[in-house]
Order: sequence, then C-alpha cells, then structure tokens
Amino acid sequence: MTDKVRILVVDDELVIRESLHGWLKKSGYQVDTAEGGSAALAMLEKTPYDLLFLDIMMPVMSGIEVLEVVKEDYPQTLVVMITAYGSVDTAVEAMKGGANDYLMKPFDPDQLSLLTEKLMQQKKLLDENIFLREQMAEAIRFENLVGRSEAMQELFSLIQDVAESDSQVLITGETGTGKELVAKAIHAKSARCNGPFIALNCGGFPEHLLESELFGHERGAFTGAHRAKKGRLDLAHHGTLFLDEVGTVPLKMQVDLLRALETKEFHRLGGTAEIEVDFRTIAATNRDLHQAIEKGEFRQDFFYRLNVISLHIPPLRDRRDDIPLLAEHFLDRYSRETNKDIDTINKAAMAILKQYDWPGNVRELENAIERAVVICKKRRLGLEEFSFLAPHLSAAAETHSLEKTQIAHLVKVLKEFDWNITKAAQALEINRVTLHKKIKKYDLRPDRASS
Amino acid sequence: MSPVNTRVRTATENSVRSNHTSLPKDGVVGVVRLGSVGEAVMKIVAANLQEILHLPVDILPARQTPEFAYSDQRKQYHAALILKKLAESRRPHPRILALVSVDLFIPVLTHVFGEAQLGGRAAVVSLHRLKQKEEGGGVSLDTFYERAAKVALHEVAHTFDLVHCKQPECIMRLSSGPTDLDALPLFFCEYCEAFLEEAYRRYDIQRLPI
Ligand SMILES: Nc1ncnc2c1ncn2[C@@H]1O[C@H](COP(=O)(O)OP(=O)(O)OP(=O)(O)O)[C@@H](O)[C@H]1O
Ligand SMILES: [Mg+2]
Ligand SMILES: [Zn+2]
Ligand SMILES: [Zn+2]
Repeated sequence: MTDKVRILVVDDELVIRESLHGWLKKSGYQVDTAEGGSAALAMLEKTPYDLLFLDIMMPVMSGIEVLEVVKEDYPQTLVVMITAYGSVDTAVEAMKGGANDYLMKPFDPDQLSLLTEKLMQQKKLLDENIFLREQMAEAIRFENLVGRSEAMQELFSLIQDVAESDSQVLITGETGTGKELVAKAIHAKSARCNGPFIALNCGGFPEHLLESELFGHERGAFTGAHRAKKGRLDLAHHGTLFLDEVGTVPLKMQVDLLRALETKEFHRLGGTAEIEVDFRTIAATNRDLHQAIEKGEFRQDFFYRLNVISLHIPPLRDRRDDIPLLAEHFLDRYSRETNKDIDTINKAAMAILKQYDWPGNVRELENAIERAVVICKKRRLGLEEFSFLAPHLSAAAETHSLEKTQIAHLVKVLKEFDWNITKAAQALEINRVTLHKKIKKYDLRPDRASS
Repeated sequence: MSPVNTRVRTATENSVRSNHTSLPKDGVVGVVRLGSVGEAVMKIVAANLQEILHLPVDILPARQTPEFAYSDQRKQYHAALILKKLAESRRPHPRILALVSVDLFIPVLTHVFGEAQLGGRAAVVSLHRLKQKEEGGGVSLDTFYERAAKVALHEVAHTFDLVHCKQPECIMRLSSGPTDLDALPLFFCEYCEAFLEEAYRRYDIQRLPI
C-alpha cells in the first residue's frame, strides 16, 4: 500500500482508544494511541501524523492545551476533538482554537467515516497546496538566491538586465548579504555562462601574493617561483572575474588593475609578453568606497571603472519579509544534509528570527539555522533551539517568557513550602484551586522542579 | 444481484458442504447464532460465505443471547466483548462468525452492523438494523437476506486482514447506512480477491476448488 495515512488517537479511556484504533485500522490507516497529552506530544515529536483524534477532557493536560501546542508546532496535522455529551461548548472553543472538527461520543459510524474521508481529502489538498507553493516559489527564487521582499524582487530584475550587458558591475552590501551569490547569478544569466567564474578574495592575500594571484608569474620571477603560474586574469578568459573585497586592494595595484581592465592586456610578474584576455569584472565591497576615496585609500579612476553599474544589497534587517523564506530555505537544506526529519520552525521561534537584527546578515541566519538543526531532537525548530540568540534579544516573545517566569516562580515558592499547596497558595496570594490548576496546567512535579 | 440460496443444510447435518465429500471434516468458518435468529438467514449467510470465500463453512449449534455483553447504560450489546468470547471457542474452526438479533455497539460508536477482529478469529453480525428501511418501515425478505450476507462477508474478510477498499464495486467498500449497503455488490473486487488469496496462503488455509 502506498504512503499510509497516519493517525494518532489521544484519549485517557482505554476502551475509546481501543475501539477507535480497531475501527480506523479496518479502513487501512496506520493508527497509534496515546493516553495523555504529554505522551501524544512526545510521539508527535518523532512521527509525522496526518490526523489526530483528541479527547477534550483528560486529566493533567486537557485536549485544548494539547491542541494549542499542535497548532503551533505541527500545523500540518489535522485535529478532530472528541467530546462527551454536554461539553459541546468546549468543542466550539476548540474549533476557534484551530481544531478541524469535533465528534461527540459515541459517534455515528457514518459520521466518523465521512469525516475521516473528508479530512483526508482536505489533507491531500493541503499537501497539493504546499506543492503548488513550491512551484510558485519559482518567483521567489533566482538562480541560488531566495527573496520575496520588494528589494530582492527588484534586485532580481536588475540582475537580469545587468547580465545581458557586458559592463563592469560593482556590488555593495554589508557582510553576508549575498554579494558573491549575486555575482554568480549575473555570471550564470550572462552570455559568458559557459566560461569560467573566477573569484578572488582581494582581502585574503598579502600584497605581493595578491599581485601574483592576479597577474600570475613567470618562472624565477621571485624567490620561490619555481615554475610559471597563470594568474586569475588569465583563468577568467571568456568568463567572469569576481573581485571580492575590492576595497582592500592596495593603491599601487589599483593602477595595474585599472590598466588591465581598460586594455584587457597585462603581463605576468617577471615576464614581458603582453597577454590578451577577454573577461568581465564584477567587484564587491562592504566598504564605503566614497569615504575611502576621500581618505585617499582608493583611486577615483579605478572606482569609476568598476562602478559602471552598481547594485546594492540591503541588509537583512531592512527586508525582514525575506527572513521566514530564507529560514525555511536553510532548514530544508540542513535537515536534508543532516538527514533529519525537521519540517517546521514554530511561530514563537520564527517571531524571534524576524525580530533579531542579524548583523551578520544572511550568513548569520544560515549559521543559526544550521546550528539549530544540529541540536534539534524534534520534528520542528522551537525557541529552545535558538536559545543562543536570546542574549541579543529585547524581551523576545513576551508571552512565552512571561509564562516561563511564572512557572519558575511557582516552582520556587512550592519548593520553599515543601510542596504544601495551602501554604504555597497563601504565599502566592492565590487560592488553592487556582494553584492546583496551574500545577496541572504546567505539569509541575517535585521531581522535575528544575525545568 | 441476489444472494445464493442453494446447497444449504441444517445444523444437525453438520455441514453445508456435504456435496464436497473429499474435504476434511471441519470447515474453516463456523457460523453460530446467539439467541433468536431465523433458520433461513443462517443458511443463506453460510451458503454465501462458502460460495464467495471459496471456503468450507459449518453451521454450529445455536447458543444463547450474549447477556454478558449487555450494557445497561447503552441498552445495547458490546460487540468487542462478544468477539473476545467467540475467539475463545473450543471449536476447531479457524474462523467463527456469530449472528445476533440484538443491536451492537463499540464504545466510540453509536452502533455497528458488524464487527470483526482484524486478522483475528472472530466476527459478529447484527441483524437488528438490517430489517429496516432508513426512512422507516421494513424491507423485503430478499433485501434483508442480501444485507445479512453482505455484512457477514465483509466482516469475515476483515479476519483475513482485508481493510476497506476504495473500489466502487467491492464488498469491502465502507458503506454508510443500509441503503448504501444495498448498492454494494456481493463480491470482492479483483484487488481484494487477490489479497484474500494471499491471506489464505499466509494462514495456511485450504480453499475449495472452484
Ligand atoms: N538571497 C539569498 N538566498 C539564499 N542564500 C543566500 C542569500 N543571500 C546570501 N545567502 C547565503 O548566505 C551566505 C553568505 O553569502 P555571500 O557569501 O554571497 O555573502 P557576501 O555578501 O559575499 O558576504 P561577505 O561580504 O562576508 O563576503 C552564503 O552561504 C549564501 O549562500
Ligand atoms: Mg563574500
Ligand atoms: Zn469494515
Ligand atoms: Zn476491493
């Protein structure tokens, strides 16, 4: 049988679990059962269920509380609430909370089969929608770039135009904004796409080595030059030369480079023969070159030569619309790479990602997702996985931290009074029933008081 | 399509398959009535099972209404409890099907027409709701017999691991209500037929020659 539908039945009553389990199995579904909320959530962490039958009235953790977590962490899972006669109000509340439907015990068999069929149909549509969304994703992808913000969409069409010309391009943007990726996209879209893309990080070499990297050298040109070597200019023939961190090129070499760019001719170190090359230059910098020119650290003529067309990539904090998209893009990549079955970033975590300023831009976001995927033991990334970002966040995700503060406070007071509910309630200035409810809600127990 | 109504012997004659003399003494499916269930419907159900499952079927001596399964709260009989008891039967038959006239339920459902242990030994069919039209009033005897045979076939097939089938023309299709049941054919689609063959091999069950 193909891809079986997986269903999880959550009910504290054994007879209900057993009979629903038996009935659903006869329809060929793969069915598991859980007798409580925490067991169910633990199973959801490991297994992608298509459908959940969830009893509303359960001790310790109510169905409504489980529903909240499911909608937050596993939005693809459909939920049918099970209610007893007389608790329809709660069921309606659950529907508002995102449940897909509810059934009253005992169910009419026809109703149950119709509902299950209907939901599976719905699920199929949902999955197809995800597929459609992925197809639509064409629009938000450009070569290896992802972006839906206006700024990125504009950039995509600029890249297209620029690629069609053969002019020099200067790409500016903070570190990690994707300058190299944009350069590659221009190359890939250009007539030179079958030629080489040669990148050189100008900041990565001391002066004399940079020179020989660029222009190459003849045998014996300097001590240690045992054999002749082609420079990057040579290698870029018929292709694109990408000068990364061009702002770090020493003044003297700027002159030589400028000449080479203008004449498309150069000679190797220690050589005299002029070598003719045909390449296009794309340069990138995260430095303010105007300022560098004023300070006398960058030649104006060289700047004009490079800056025939300029492309600016805004920092990630100025295009936060791209954050969820990029986050999911990287989640997809790293969950694949690590062979982990992680398919979502929950709302709370996403809220934090959207809020953070990302001084390291897309690269920092990429690293954050990779790190979260590596430490993640569940099927979704949540706040826990991004705790390393927490120190930088201003009152992130208000509700959650409030809740955590409350739990910590409750545990502290309960411990103080040796879990004597009456005394603890007095100290907390709440009544015993309320305290009991909170203990149940947060599943507080002396043995796990530290959590 | 109307149900088969031939080659039916009474319980005392021990077997509905006396014309297959070369077969082993005991059948594969034993059909038993619990409480007051008509003689005719027993024979028709047994004959249809034998014909369509290609398995030797025996009609077993009648037993009492399963009062132990009665629920005061539901005013119905708990199907799963009946199955449990049937599965403990000391009869040699690898499969036991019970027919009852009382209304059946399982805890999550308001009622069931029949119930079976998936891949197990026992199945039960209630005739209670099969006699009525959905819109009220009774149905003809023919329709009633046909419905009984269909539910019985469907439930016994569950004991051979068959699950519900999406084919429009198949007895394993999940029906909603007796009218829906009337629209189902009294046979398996070719997929389910194949699954059944496979199950017979798996359970080492000898089918009758066609
Ligand atoms: N729009 C984007 N879509 C997908 N991935 C991106 C995007 N922008 C950047 N990245 C990824 O982020 C990382 C950094 O990108 P890249 O190296 O191009 O940045 P950069 O601007 O050249 O950084 P630096 O100034 O530090 O050299 C790379 O892994 C790249 O794949
Ligand atoms: Mg770079
Ligand atoms: Zn069935
Ligand atoms: Zn079928």
